[in-house]
Amino acid sequence: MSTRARLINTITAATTLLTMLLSGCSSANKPAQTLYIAYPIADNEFTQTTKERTEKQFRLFNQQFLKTNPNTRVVTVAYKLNTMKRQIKEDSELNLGPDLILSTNTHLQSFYLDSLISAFPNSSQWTQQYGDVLKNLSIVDDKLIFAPFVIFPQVSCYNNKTIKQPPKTIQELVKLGASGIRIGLSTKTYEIQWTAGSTGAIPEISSLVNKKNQNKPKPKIKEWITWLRQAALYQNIFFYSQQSELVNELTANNLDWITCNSFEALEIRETMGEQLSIAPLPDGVQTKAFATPTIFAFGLGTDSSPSQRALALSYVRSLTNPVGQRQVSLRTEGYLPANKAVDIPNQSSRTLKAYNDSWNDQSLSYIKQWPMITQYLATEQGYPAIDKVLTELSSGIISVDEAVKAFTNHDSKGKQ
Amino acid sequence: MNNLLFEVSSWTGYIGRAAVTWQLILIGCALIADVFIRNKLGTKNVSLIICQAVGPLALLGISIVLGLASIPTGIANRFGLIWAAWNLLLWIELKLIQRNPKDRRALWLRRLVRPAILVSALLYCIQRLSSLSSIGLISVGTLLNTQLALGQLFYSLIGLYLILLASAPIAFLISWISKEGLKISNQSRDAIEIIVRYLIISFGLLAVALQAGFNPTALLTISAGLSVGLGFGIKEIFANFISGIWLLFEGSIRPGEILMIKGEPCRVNKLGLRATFLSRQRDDAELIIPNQTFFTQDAESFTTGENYRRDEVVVGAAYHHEPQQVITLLEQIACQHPRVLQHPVPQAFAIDFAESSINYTLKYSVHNPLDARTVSSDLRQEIWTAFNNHGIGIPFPQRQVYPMEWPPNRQSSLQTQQNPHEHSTADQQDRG
Repeated sequence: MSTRARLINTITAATTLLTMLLSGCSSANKPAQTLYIAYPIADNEFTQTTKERTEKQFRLFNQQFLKTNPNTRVVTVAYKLNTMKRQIKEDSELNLGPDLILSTNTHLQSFYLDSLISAFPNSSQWTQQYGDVLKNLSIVDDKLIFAPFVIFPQVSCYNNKTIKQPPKTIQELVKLGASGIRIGLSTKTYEIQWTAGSTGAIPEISSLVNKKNQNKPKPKIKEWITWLRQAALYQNIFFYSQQSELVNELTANNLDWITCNSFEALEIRETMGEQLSIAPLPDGVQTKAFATPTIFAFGLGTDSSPSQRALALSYVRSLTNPVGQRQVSLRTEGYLPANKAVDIPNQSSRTLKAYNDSWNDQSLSYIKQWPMITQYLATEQGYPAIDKVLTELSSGIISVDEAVKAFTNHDSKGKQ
Repeated sequence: MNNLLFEVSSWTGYIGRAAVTWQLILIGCALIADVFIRNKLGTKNVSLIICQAVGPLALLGISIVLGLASIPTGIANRFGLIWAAWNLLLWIELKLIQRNPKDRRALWLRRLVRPAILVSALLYCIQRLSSLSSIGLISVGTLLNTQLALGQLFYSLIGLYLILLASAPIAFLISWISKEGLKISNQSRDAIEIIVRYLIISFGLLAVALQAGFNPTALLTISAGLSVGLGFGIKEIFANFISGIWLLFEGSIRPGEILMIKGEPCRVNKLGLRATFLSRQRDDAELIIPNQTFFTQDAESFTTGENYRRDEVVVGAAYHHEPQQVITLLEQIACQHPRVLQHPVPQAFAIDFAESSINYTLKYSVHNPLDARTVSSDLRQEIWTAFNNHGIGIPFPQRQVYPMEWPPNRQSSLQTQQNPHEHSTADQQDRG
């Protein structure tokens, strides 16, 4: 055996022991416990700026928690959205998974199916603080699989220098475009499906969950798809494949009106300042827009020690109880509280009123169809497949009939 | 930087998890046990592979058994695998070196595979303890008005290392293709190889800098400023570097050429950034001469214009031998030597009516300048033999020493000269 190899092994052993020793010593001066929180950032937005902006929000949340747990070190770890699940799965194989995961409801549902998060203990106590919609989303087999924390409603962001009065209907939106206002729409299904509500296609889309209905005529879906095709033909309506492009174009003054969510509105306001106004999405003549909010929730990791689990529950409790929710909501106009007991001060802000209208008037008006639409579209294959159809439709590659056929016959068996 | 320290220090929080702590203890015990077991096995002449394998395999075995009992062993498993891979690599490397100390495969294992395993293991650990993407965004400072993130810095360093490593084989390949395609000489091939290598490194550095997000205009400005700074600060090194590049492009000194350094033929082995490396034929010593020297001092090259070296042997013959016979004999001797070139034809000349001999010079050429010394020695031996066979004498001055007394005693001196032994005997008799 070479001396060098022996030396390397001795050094490795010494380093390991030293690390353990140092960590033991350092724990005497450092907070007693560490709480690991994982959160995702979209791959194409994974930049230092986005991370800093999110960490700033986390500092706000942490302050609330540290009031009652001052001797805790909260470590937040950002993951790329597309690889987060795989990463956490590998971490969990080594018992190094996070204590808490803050992500969207669909993401967390998928985590739960892969046993990467645990259900909340004493679920009934937790569920009392949520309304029916959030309960339906977060409860599986009478267990609360994640604790909804905040709601990012889908709204419209516009430049109030060029648009004095926001469009209330999609017909007004088209007129606005005809008058020279530059309008940006997304080809992502999740971002554009609000127009399906405005054209009255939501009941037909929700009926597609039942395979037998797929071959029946779908006039409203065709009307919606036709509207999208018409929009693509208008001079001042532009389609983008990435939501981040819409945001960038608005802040660069290349667009005047876009769809956005409340968290993006915060980011846009940093650049546009008072020039930015927020309004609910345009409804149809008879039907509401199907504003699709993003719900962020906490999931409990599976690898925590008993003390870390207690801290994780304490963290969630501190931020989802009415006082905590109100504290967090008052400090920023980025989201709506998930707790039903927290009132939204509509009168204090037009922005908050827009969020409130989006959530309560538009999103919740589709409370019955929502689960079926999620079941039909929100699958691993669903959204990417429909995104492709809508991109090809808006680019003129496929006809309206072909798009309708592809939309109504897509396979919804994929994993949610 | 504080963010990075916070990130790293936060990893200790995982030790609070019992499943993690006990696995770290298991690994620590395995490492310590491995040191003792190796020492024991080492004294019993157990083969190297067994010594290398015992530690990682024991750890893996224990982990698998405990894993079957649903005891968490993920960390111990991964550590065991990395440890086994590392030891296997060391064993392969050692075997290759034992067969041939200059084995190129061992060199590549050491330079490429070993760092690759280390870096991969390190990245894997960081990825598990945190998120590489997130850590990659941590700012480590500002350079040339560019915010440098840890990820960019890491990729830049890896890129730099790979460029330095890959530049040599790529340059060799290009120069070899050039040699085969353009039918150029070995010296030109060597020059092309070095130039291509410098170009790859230069463009590689530029690419790495641009990838790291540096502004090209700022780079140009800084490099201009740096050039001035270098000119004043490390003038000698910079001058040597520029001289090296210049010599390569000029083609006057290239690897493989023969230079006369202080009267000794030396072969150019390598034209480095700072100095030229030559090997001296006489004693195989390696000479390291700053490149700038060739700009400021005379250097005699035997291979720049022609590939042969012209040399000469000077010999004297007695006056009574006909010069034409001697000249013919000398030219014959040179022509018969296998390492003397027939073109240009060896020629002998009578060059001097010296004090005791007519001096002749034999001029000849050899293909390899480094052979000149051996060939001249051979020729001198053959000239002696040929002169002997033909009865030609090589006159040389002879000196006679006369011991003298003061004042001179002519008789005594003559007697001593005639028979020194008698003189000493007579002296003894006188004393007796």
